[in-house]
Amino acid sequence: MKRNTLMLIVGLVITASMILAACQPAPAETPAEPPAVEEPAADTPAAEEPTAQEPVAEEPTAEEPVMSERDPVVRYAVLEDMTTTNVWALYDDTDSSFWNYLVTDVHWPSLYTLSDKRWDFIPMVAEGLPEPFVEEDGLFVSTIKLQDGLVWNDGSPLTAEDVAFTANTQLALRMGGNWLGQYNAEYLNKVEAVDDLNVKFYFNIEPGLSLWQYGTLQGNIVSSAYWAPKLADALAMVEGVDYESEDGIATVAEAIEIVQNMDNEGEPVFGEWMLNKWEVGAFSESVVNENNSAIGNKVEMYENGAFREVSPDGSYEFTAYGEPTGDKTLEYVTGPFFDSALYTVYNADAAVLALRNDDVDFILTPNGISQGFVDQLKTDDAITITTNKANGFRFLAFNYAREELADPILHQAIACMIDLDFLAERVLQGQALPVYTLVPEGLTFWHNKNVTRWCEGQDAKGRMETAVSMLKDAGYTWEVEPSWNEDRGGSVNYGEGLILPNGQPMPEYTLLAPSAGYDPLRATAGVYIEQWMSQLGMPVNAELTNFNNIISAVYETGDYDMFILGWGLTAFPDYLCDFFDQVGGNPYNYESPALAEKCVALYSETDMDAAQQIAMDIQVLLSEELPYITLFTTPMVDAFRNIEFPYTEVLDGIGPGYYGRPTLARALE
Amino acid sequence: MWKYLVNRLLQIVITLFVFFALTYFLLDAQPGDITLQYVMNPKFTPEMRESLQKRLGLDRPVYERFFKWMGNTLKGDLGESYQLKRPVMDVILERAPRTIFLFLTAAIIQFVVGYWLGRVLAWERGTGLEYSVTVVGAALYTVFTPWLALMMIYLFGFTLKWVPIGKFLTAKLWLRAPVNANFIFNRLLLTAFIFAVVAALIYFFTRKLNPHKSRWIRLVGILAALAICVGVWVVGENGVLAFDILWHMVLPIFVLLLVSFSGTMLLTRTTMLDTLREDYIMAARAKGLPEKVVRDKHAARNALLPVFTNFVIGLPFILAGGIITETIFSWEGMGLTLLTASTTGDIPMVMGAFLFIGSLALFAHLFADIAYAFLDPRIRYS
Repeated sequence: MKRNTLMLIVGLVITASMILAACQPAPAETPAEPPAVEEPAADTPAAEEPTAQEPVAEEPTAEEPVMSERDPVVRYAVLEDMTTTNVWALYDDTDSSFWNYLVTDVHWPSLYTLSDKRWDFIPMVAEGLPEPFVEEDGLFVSTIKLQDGLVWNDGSPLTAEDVAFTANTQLALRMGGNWLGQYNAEYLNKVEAVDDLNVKFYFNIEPGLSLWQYGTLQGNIVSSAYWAPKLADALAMVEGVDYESEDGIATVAEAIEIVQNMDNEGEPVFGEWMLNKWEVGAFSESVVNENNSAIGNKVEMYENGAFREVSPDGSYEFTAYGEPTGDKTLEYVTGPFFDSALYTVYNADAAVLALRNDDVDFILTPNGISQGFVDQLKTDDAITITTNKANGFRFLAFNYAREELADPILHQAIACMIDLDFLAERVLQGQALPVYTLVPEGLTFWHNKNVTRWCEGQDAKGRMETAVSMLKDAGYTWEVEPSWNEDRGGSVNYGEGLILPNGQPMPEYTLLAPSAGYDPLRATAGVYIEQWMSQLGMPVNAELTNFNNIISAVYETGDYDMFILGWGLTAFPDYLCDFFDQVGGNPYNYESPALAEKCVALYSETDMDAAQQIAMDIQVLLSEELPYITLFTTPMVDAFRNIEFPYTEVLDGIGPGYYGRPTLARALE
Repeated sequence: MWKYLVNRLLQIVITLFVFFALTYFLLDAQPGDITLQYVMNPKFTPEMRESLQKRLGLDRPVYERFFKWMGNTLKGDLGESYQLKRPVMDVILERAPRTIFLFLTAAIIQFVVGYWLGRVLAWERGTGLEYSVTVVGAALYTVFTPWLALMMIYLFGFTLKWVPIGKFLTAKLWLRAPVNANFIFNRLLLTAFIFAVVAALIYFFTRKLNPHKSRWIRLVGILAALAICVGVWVVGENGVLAFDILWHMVLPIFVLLLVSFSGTMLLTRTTMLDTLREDYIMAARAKGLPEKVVRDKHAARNALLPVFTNFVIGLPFILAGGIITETIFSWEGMGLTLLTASTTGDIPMVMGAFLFIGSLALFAHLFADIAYAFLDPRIRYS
């Protein structure tokens, strides 16, 4: 009886508290109504009104590029569905993903882009290459001219106002992710449309390559005619806001939420493809945007480095990086050569069966197809399998907050012990390729092959002896020094009790590596590296753990000793500095005045050749100081059937690197 | 009875509160939050992370966030998914129907098959049939589900090409479809509901008729209702889309049936064996009733109680789907959504899903208790 009464009372109290919670007034940070703003002008030109994303009539008009008859559909298997098509969300932190960009990345233009395969900096909607900056009223100003006659898929013109509106919207909202990399309010002051074709960028400082050519100039552009009226209320909310104050942050957060949750049906797009149908969780279909100006363009790349792009009627021609003469390394015509691109969601096993079953033409994954599946696919002669190097690497890093682990000599000795060729070829069975510097070989312009490769080419005995010698020279001693045992073909007698130069014993450390379920390669590498360190007398335990635990330890709590993780990389190697941020700090607590100096130079460098030299120098520096010991990269394997591409040898592969490049895919004869 | 109901409802409120609090705090106790998945971008600075945490309200203490969530939930606002940038309710309404339709169908089929087989096994105790079916059932019950599912896909989807390889629809067929898949799933669920109500009414109105007569009326009535339901879809403009979904359901349901029917079968068999030892079974036989009547009306009916309870209590968890099944058959429903949300720290999405699952589970318990009183006249609540 007593129990029931107690239950009754507790139940009533909780119910009452819930009702009270439900009835409480809205919290103060939630504004009741956004401030009123002016309505968009009633006399907006009709042409600027967005229309539904209906495919344009298949019969090209006289002005449209004439294409030969297309094949019906190129079919991709994707392993995850996209989460949104809202451009403001897509390029912010939370929704930037491979799966989201597969379909949508071509929707929005940028002033400049990078060419296929060679990654030359070339115009997309701009005319010619950018001019140098001039100083105006203490700001650094550059004017970019757009190509004339460009239109969105609904026929409305693409203008300088679109560029200015996009950039200024980001400057007002200050979103993160790619938006921040493209239009960063810390450096970019404002953007103005001078007229329909000319747009002026005002910077607080003279921007270097990473901010300008590889940042703002490759920023997305949206249709201002479509978005300006829709965003008016949200932009009015953040007008004059103090971005540092609590209230200001809350207001901006709310404005961003409004913008990123907006419906974007009928939004004009520019690229070769536009989304026609999205059946959530099942498939999406893109169809050709016949108004795209690049369709039918011929692209030529020459051995001497020259690049040339010309439209079918000759009305557009762009040539750069030398005279387009001599042997061509690549030549192709820009498609699409299919009426539609279909992206169907499968799990990995089903996708492989679907490819073998001829249900799909290409499997798209961000990390390429795993070796187990490749073996299955090889049994089918109709399937083409291509292998490329990845633009990324796996690495071993140290926590410099642990004083004993901050010694570069120790890192060099460990690097010497790690036999990367043995690890890649023998241990990982050729599923990995050794990496000696932070810039992969595939990025030929930036890669420095003359970095120090510790103990490369030496056998186990030589490596051990060199490492021991390096440590001895630095003042390390042992209770039992590592030695070579000639018995049974030779092996290392493990050292014991490594003593630091200050006379203290080396403490016991943990090496965090992802578990085999997440990444068998890194897990195996972790176990081998533990043994190599142990041979040197270092008391180290490899802990194979959940990926999130490692991330949390490294980036959140900072409570770790060593770890193995990996990076995917970008075309411009400013990551050499981003990884080891010497201004805001980095998660490894690595400090290097020499690196800091070079990074300042790299960030502000405007000349490509000078930037190349700085990047080369940084690679040499990092190969000596070794905050990272680079380990290996994995091959990117693509598998497809029924289609062909003008090239397949490219860093990251056609799938992971170019989202399957439906624009260049052609049906096999 | 009313007092009992009020007490139970209050218990449900308390249990739900504890359940939500535990779930919320456990989710929050995971290492990091949703912003942790972006730190692997070297351009994502600690300041940017802090700013994103503020935007998502993750800078507030966990208890404050929990009570805010509770308050909003009671107002009908489940918040927005961090990942999907959409209201949680919209996501649930979008993904739940396809999960419910698949797993409810599978659950009902496995219940019917399991119950029928369990009844037969108990009756055929000691025969070769009992041993062989029990062994096969136990083997399937313990088999590694992903392996079995993949083998089935390989055999029936890839080699024999009888059924599709995963997914819940044929993309080419749906490209020009006038409606989306959810519309069809919802209509299919509505059709199934109407059919169930009609079947229940037929049963209700024929229960006092002569058993011989009522059996035929029920059979004809249910077949007629089924024919009408199918006919409506066949003549309707979306029939082909509905049948495409049903065609895609064949293999997942078959796999779910194989791995789960033996649970119901063995439970029915055990309870029925207990029932068969009761005095009233002996009395029924002594009265000279046919064996079939003794089995179906006296033994099986009484053995149904725990089996039915087990079935009803398990129903709400259908909403969570089967993560393995949904993954292997590329059936993007609540299971996959929950998995992704849990691993990425999308707390509003997880809590929204658990809100429905938890509430339905508790109300299913209540429903089972009330149904007891109807199924077993000896049970009365006071």
